[in-house]
Amino acid sequence: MAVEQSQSTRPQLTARIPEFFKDPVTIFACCIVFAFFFLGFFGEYLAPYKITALDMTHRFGAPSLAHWLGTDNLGRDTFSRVLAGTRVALTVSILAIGASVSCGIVLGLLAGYGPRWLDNLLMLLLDSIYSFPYIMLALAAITLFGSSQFIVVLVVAITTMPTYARLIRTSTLSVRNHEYILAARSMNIGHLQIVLRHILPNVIGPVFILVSMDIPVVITVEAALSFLGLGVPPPAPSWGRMLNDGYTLIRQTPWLVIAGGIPLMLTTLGFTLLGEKLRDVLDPKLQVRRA
Amino acid sequence: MKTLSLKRRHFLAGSAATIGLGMVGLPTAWAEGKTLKIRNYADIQNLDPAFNTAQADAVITDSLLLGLVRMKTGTEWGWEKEAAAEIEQVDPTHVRFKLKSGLKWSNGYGALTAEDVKYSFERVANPKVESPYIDDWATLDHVEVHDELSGTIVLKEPFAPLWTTTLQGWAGKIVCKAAMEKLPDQKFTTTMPAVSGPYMIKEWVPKQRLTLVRNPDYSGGETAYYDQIEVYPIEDEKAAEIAFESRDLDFTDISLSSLKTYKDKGLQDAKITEHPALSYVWFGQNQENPALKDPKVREAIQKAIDVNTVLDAAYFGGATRATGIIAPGLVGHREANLTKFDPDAAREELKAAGAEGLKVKLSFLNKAEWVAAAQVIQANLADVGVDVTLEPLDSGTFWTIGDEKSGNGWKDLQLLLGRFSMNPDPAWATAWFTCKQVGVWDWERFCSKDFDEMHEAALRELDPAKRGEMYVKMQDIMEKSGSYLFLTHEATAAIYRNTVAPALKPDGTAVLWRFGAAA
Repeated sequence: MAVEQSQSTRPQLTARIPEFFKDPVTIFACCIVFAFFFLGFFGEYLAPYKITALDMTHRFGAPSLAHWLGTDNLGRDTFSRVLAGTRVALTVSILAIGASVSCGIVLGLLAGYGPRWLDNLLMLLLDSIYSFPYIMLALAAITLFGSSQFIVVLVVAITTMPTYARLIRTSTLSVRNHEYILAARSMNIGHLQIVLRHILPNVIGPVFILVSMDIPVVITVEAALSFLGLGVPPPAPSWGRMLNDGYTLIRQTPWLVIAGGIPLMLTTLGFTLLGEKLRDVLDPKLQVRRA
Repeated sequence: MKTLSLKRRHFLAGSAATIGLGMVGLPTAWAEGKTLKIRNYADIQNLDPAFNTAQADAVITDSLLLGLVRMKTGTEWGWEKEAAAEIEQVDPTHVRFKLKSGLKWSNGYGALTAEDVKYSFERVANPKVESPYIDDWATLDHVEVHDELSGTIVLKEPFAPLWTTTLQGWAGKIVCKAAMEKLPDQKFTTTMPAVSGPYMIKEWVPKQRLTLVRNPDYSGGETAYYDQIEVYPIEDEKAAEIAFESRDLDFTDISLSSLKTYKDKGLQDAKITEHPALSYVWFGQNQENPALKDPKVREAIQKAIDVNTVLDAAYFGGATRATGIIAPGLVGHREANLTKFDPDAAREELKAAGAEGLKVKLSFLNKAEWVAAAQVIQANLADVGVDVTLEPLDSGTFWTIGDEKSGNGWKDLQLLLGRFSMNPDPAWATAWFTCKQVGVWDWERFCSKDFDEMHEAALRELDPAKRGEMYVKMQDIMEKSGSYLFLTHEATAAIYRNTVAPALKPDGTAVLWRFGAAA
C-alpha cells in the first residue's frame, strides 16, 4: 500500500542522507549548485565592474589582474558579465520550471483523476505541445511579441510542461483506485481534498528528480535561444549570447567562448550529477532493485 | 568464386605510379580543371532581370545575359560597350545603338536582335508587367527598331540615371523575345530559357550549389577564363571565411570585423582586397511616433550619439563615417555632416523640450555589427538620460516593421538602424525617402515637399554640377529634419587565392565571368 510504502521509506531516506554527502562527486555537484544559486542571487553585486560599462580603448583584452577573464568587443569586463549572466540563467530556469511544474501538476492531476473524456482531451493537447519544436515556438513568439526574458520563460515553460503533466497523470492513474482513495471517497471526502491531501503527496516525488534533471536542460535551452539571437535581448549578459559573441569574434579573442562556455558546462554537469544522485536516493524502485 | 588478390609488388607499383603522376602535375590540372569556387551571400531566387530580388541574383544574371553596355571593373565608375557595337546619345531624349553582329542565343533561338532590346526595355517599363525596376525606365517612351541590329531608345523626358544605372544595371539586360513569348506570363524565375552571356547554368542544387559552365553559343568577344564556376550560397560571412581557410572557396567576401585580423595575421597563398562600398547605413527616428514628434527631441538624440565610437564598435575601424546617403565619388556627395556629437547640448535640449527620462526602443537587424552598434547607441543615450530598450529582430521581421501593408507595427517603431544597398547614381539613394515612400521604405515617415520636387528635378537634370547641388540640399533637408543620423557607407572586403585574378566593380561587387588567373 502506498501509505505504508511511503512510511517505510522514511527511515531509509534519513539513513541515506549521510551516505549522500559521503560521495565526493555529490559534494562536488552540491558545491556547483550552491555556487550557481549564490551567484544567481548575489553575482551582480560581487561583479567588479558595471556590466554595461563600455571601454572601447580596452576591448578584446586578455585575462589580467584587472580583468580576470579579459574584456569583450565593447571593452566590458567579461568576468562581471559571466557573474551577472548567472542571474539570467537562474531566473529563467526557476521561473520556467516553476511555471512548467505548476501547470504540469494541475493538468496531470486533472487528466489522471478526472473523467476519461477530459483525460483524452488533455493528452491530445499535451501531445500536440510536446511535438512542437521549441525553436519554432520561440521564433513565432518573438515575431509576435519581440524578444524578452518573459518570452524565453514562456517558451521554455510551455515546451517542458507536458513532461510533468504526463508524469503526474501516469502516477495519478496508478494510485486513483488504491484502497485508501476508495476509502476516502466512501467517507464522502470532496474530490479536491482527495487530490490535494491523498493523491498529490504520493505522486509528487518523481517530479523533484525530474526538476533537478531539467534545470540544466532549461539553462541550455535559454543559452541556445540566446545564441541564436532569440533569447534575452542585449545588453543582458546571457551565457548563450556571450557564446554567440565569442563565436563571431573568435579570431579576435578566444576568451569570450571560454568565458561563456565554462559556466554553462559546469552548471549542466553539477545539476546532472546532483539529479542522478537524488534519483538514486528518492526513487524507491531503484532502491528495491538494489536491495 | 573469383577473389581479388593484391600482391605487395602490385601495391608498390601502383603507389609509385600515383606519386609519379602527382609529381608531373597531372592530378593538379585535373583537380583544378579551371574551376572557380566562389561564395554568394544568398541563394538565387529570381534570375529574370526584370524581377531580380537582390544582388545575389544579379551577380549570376550578369554572367548569363548581355546588356547594351556594362559596368567597368576596376576602381573608377564607368561603362563600356557590351552587346552594342556603337551607342550614342544623339540628344537628351534619344539614344541610338547598333548591336555587334554574330551575337547568339542559346537553345537554338537564333541571333540577338534589336527586337530583343525593344522587348526587354519596354517590358520593364510596362506597368502591367509590374517590374519593381519600372522607375529605371521612368521616362522611356519606346524603342524604335531600324533593322535587325540597330535601333533608338526614345525617352519622353531626359533621364539622368540612364547611363549610370539603367543601361548598365538590371533593367538594361537583354532577354530573348522569342524564348520569353513561349513562357506562361512571359516570366521565369530560376530557369532561364535562353542565354547570350559567356556562361550558362549547368546545375542548381537549391541552398547548396549553382554550377555555371561555358555557353558554347557565346560570341560576345571577350571570353571567360574558367571552364566552370561553382557558386556556393553561404549567408554567414564567418562560415564563408572558415570555408575559404579550409580551401573550399577561392574567393569570398569577408566581414569587416575579420578584416583587421586577416591583415594582422596575414594569409597563406591568398590576398585581401578592399573597396569603398556604396551602401548607406543610418540611425533613424520615426517622426510620427508620439515620443519623437518634437523635432527638438530628435535633434538632441542626433547630438547624443558618438558615431565614430559606434562605427569602431561595429566595424573595428573598417568603415569610415558617412556624410550622407550618397557615397564619395558619386554626384551629390556631401563634404560634411551638419550635426556634431555634443552630449552636453543634447542634455540641455532634452531638458528644454521636457523630454528628460525619455524611454524609447531601438529596432535593428540581429547581426553582430548591428548588435554592437546598438549597444553603443544605448550607452550614449543613457548618458544623456534617454532609456533605450534594444530590439534585435530577425530579417523576416525587421524588413516589415515600418511597412504599413504588414500591419500596425510601424506605429510602435521609434528608433531604428537602417541599411540600403545602392547603385552608382544618387537617385537610387533619394528615391526611398520621398513622400510616396512613407510607410513603404521610408520608415522614419519623413516627408518634405521640397525634397520631392528636387528629387524629380534631379532625375531630369543632365548637368552634373547642378544635379550635385540638388542632392546635397536634399541630404541637408533629411538631416535637418532630425530623423536621420548618417553612419557609414561600409566597405567591401574580400579574400582570394593567389592564383585568382578577381574582377570587381569599384564597390567590390564581383563580376564572375571576368575572373581570371593571376599572372
